[in-house]
Amino acid sequence: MVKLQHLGGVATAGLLLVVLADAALQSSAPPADEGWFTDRAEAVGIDFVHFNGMSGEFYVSELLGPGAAMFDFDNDGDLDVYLVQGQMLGPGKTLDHALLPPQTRPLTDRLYRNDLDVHADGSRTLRFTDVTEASGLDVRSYGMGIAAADVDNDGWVDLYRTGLGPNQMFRNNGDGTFTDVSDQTGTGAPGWSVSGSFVDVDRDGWLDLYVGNYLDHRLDTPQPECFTRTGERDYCGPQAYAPVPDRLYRNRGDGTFVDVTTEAQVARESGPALGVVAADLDGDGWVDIYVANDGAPNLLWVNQQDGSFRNGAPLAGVAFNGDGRVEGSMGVDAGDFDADGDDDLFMTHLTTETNTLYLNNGSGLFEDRTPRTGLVAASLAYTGFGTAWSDFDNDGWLDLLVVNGAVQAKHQRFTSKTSEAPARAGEPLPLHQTNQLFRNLGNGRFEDISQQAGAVFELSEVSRGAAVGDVDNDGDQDVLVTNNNGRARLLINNIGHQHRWIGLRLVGGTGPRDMLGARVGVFRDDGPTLWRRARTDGSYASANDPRVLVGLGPGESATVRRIRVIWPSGREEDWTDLSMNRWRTLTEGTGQSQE
Amino acid sequence: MIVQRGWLSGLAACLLLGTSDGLATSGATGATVALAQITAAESRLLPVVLPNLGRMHGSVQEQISEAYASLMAAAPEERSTAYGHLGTLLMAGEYLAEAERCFRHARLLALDDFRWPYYLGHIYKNTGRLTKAVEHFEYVLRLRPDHLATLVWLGHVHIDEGRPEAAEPLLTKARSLHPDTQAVLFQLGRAAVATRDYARAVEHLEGALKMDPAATMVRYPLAMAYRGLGDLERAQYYLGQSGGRAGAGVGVTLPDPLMSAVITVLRSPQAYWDLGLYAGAQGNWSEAVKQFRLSVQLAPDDPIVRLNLALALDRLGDARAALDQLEETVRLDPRLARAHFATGTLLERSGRDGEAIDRYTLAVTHDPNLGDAHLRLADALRRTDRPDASLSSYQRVLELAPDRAEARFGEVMALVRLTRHREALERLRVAMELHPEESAFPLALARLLAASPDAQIRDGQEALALVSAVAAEHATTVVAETMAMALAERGHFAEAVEWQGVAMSGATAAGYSEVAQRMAANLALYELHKPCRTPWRDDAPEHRPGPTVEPGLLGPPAAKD
Repeated sequence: MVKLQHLGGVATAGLLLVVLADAALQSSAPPADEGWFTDRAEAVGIDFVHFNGMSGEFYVSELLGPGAAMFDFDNDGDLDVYLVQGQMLGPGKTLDHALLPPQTRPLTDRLYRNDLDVHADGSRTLRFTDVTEASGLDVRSYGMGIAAADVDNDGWVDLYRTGLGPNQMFRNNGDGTFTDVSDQTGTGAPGWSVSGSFVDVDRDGWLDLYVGNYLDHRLDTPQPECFTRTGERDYCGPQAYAPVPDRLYRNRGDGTFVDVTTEAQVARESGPALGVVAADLDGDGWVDIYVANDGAPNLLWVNQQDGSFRNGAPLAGVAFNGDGRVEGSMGVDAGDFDADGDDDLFMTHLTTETNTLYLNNGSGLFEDRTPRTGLVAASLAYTGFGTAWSDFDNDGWLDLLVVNGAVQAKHQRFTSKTSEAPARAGEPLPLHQTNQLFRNLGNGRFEDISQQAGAVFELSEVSRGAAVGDVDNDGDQDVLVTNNNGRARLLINNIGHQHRWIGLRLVGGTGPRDMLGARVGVFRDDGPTLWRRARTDGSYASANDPRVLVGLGPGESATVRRIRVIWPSGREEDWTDLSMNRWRTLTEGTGQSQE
Repeated sequence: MIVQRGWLSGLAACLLLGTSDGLATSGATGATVALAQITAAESRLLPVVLPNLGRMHGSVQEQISEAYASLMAAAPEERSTAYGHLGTLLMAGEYLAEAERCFRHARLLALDDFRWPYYLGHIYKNTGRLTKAVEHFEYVLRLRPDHLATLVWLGHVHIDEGRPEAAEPLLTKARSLHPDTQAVLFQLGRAAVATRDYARAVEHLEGALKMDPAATMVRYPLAMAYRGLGDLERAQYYLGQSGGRAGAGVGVTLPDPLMSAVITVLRSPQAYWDLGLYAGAQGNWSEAVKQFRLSVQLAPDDPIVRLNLALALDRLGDARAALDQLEETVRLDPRLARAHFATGTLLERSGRDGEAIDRYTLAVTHDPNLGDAHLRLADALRRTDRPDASLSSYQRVLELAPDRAEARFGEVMALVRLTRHREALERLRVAMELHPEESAFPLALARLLAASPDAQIRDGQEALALVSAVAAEHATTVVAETMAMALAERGHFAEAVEWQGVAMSGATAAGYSEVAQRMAANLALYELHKPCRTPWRDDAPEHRPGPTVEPGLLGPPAAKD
């Protein structure tokens, strides 16, 4: 994509656009009037279709996957892609029983290497290569989600894969290959896990792991059967199963983890966990963990700074919605949407429930302000999964993305019209819904701009995971969306780079590695300080770009006075004189210390 | 616990998408439109389309088919009602697009009938078409200015739109007309919270709670209102009162005959099931039984439905009938672990331990992850003098749920019973770290340290420190008895005698004179300046976990359904 702001005036930019048209043929140049995003997955080589293994048995597990990861596995400075695959489900079932046969073979997770080529003139060619086989990642179990982080501080990003069955930890060998170290690390607990979050809970410099467990659901036992009020078979909800407590693993720093679930007291309460996000929600400098539970009170594990946690969700106002109802919580994100310096929370929910926005008062007490934000009406008909607070247009305000897909056929009907009834009748997976994009208006409210977001937002699919990151390094956030039993979508951002931005990779330690949990404040002359966080967690079952991209708004006059980084250790450092519209790396210990 | 299968669909209205039919905003209140005009207008509306009935329950197919046939055969003056009836069936089945069309037809044919715009309002509300919801509810109020449910729901919609100030006059009017309606005060409270007027929110919500203290749903927003006032103590109090699962408990009542008609119109096992669950959640067990019985009638071979009927019968107090249903349930599905578990609990309560153990064993065989069954099995085994057999079950509970303090305590007591005191002591130390708020663990550790026959593990000083800390907060006979043990171990026999006397007096005063008599043995030891070497008597309640036995709980077999 051409960076017009490098070239000066509009006239020149227009000429340049014409001149470069031919040169950009190789690039993923979008056609005109295409909206905020364009799906380029297939065009750039990501040809992945998820297989959910359904055979008409209405296994609840076939509904929930998959997630995806954007992460730089080969340390070449651009984001690669990992996509989680399903398998045939059910004892004695073969692919012949599949209602919707798989469209890609073999049925394994996929690793796509980003071969981004930035040309001298600034244009870029985005291309992905399937390197699964060469990577040694021959993963053939039923997958749910993926978390990504450097767990051994060697500078290479490792992977943690959740699924229906034992989870798997893959160590990045640094040579393009991975090794399954699940047994060695002690993190391969059986059961059904969905989301994981790498977070340094004890500030010892090693990333620990929180794993959200969902339900006690085994395919070798009789399954509950659920029906609609009219007597039609449909999927069961989480209440039909027992929840399984989440797990917290402390990183010992020697290649192993120890299960500290009990000592950390995070098993005292549990629910069917689907989304997990770690952030310092009470502003005490220690990272907390928020868990989105499906049909049960959410959990806010407040870090007690002594290795244990206390569930502060009820008093904090984030266990239920404002009316005191539990909701079917799927995806979650934390971000400072109102630019007041603290992280607020957003969660996606079931049809007939609103998505919920919890406003942080700065000290870890929240209010359900969903009605005041204008988000109620747009969410009632949809079942939301992956979500992200991200400044997609780089105007300095965090926008909201929600990817949707029903979990029961009756809910899908809430967004369909009668004319579709005959088609729906024969559909094996009638759960598709469209996705949504909400623009932050900067006044506490959001505007539903799904209709201007691009043709990809008109697609009605069963969306689940959403990972956000700048996959073409052009200074705006792109999105990787996964669909249950559907094609992965790579939504390339068409507009964000039109505004000024600053991109930061925050690293430290021996690796060095991405310092997940580090907070960044961008102090400006022409607006409130913008606080962002280096993270890979949040959304649903997915891993985001750990880098921090901060939109600075339109106009040439946007200036950044200084940047402050609060590292996970608590150390604070400032940087000044950072130029805009580029990615750069900030290393702990190299800034101006504020202590 | 009642078995829930599906996501509990809020038993509220459905939703729909639709276009304005023109006449909706014609202001034709009270007007009579000529038949020709109706026909012309009707022809512009989309035709009613039925969903695919093929996969529905037979009774629902019948209902919808009959309603459709009635509509086709209806005389002109009856067509509005016929459309409306079909619409309610479709709305109840959550076929909202189809229901909307029916209601729009119904409304077109009877502009003065407030029912159809009311239902449309609900449909639009739930789909997020809030502007259309408002439009239709306002239309209802033009026809029926004092309609309580519409005033409340319109207020609700305004709050959801982020316009609580628009809600207040409606709700205030509703309150003046119906001062005893809890839902009105609840919505006023919601509106006040939305405007951050926490003092008024407290006033309204406290009022709502007074009307029906069982409505746990009020407690959470009330807690938030107190929090907003800075009164964290009261906030915590009401959060605790909401039982940790606010919103899943008892709801706020709003008399709404029209929506009740929708909720109760369908004849299907699932529809009755939903009503049974709802009634059970409100604590109305007789209604729950009634609905589950209707469900069973339509699905007699569904074991889950029978299981829920059994559980509801038990809650209603008819254990015998519950047992009969459970026996039928396991006949239908011998592998249904929860049914075996429920049967076990009934048998246990009636004192039939051997049979209860068999049932619990079946439950965990069919579902090795059913933690409650493992726990009950472990306790029953321990109670019937099989502590060795109980250990594996306690350990399984802890594997499944490391935080089950009662399983940890049970494991300790089993080890004590097996005189494996050293292991019991180690477990207690771990338990104390994991459950600092549970006084049972330090108390038990104190007893072992004071009175274990194993001299290697006795430590009177630590025992005294532990029990003293517990005694500072808890004054019970068990604490007093433990204090006496610790003092005796330390050689302070005079004080030990005194504390043992306190324990015996306490037991007597509580009506346990036989327990007091058994305590006399230790008293005698202390008087002879001898320490105790029996941390717990074999008949101590700690060795007899389980429910209170209710003799005659299971009367003679009842007639079968």
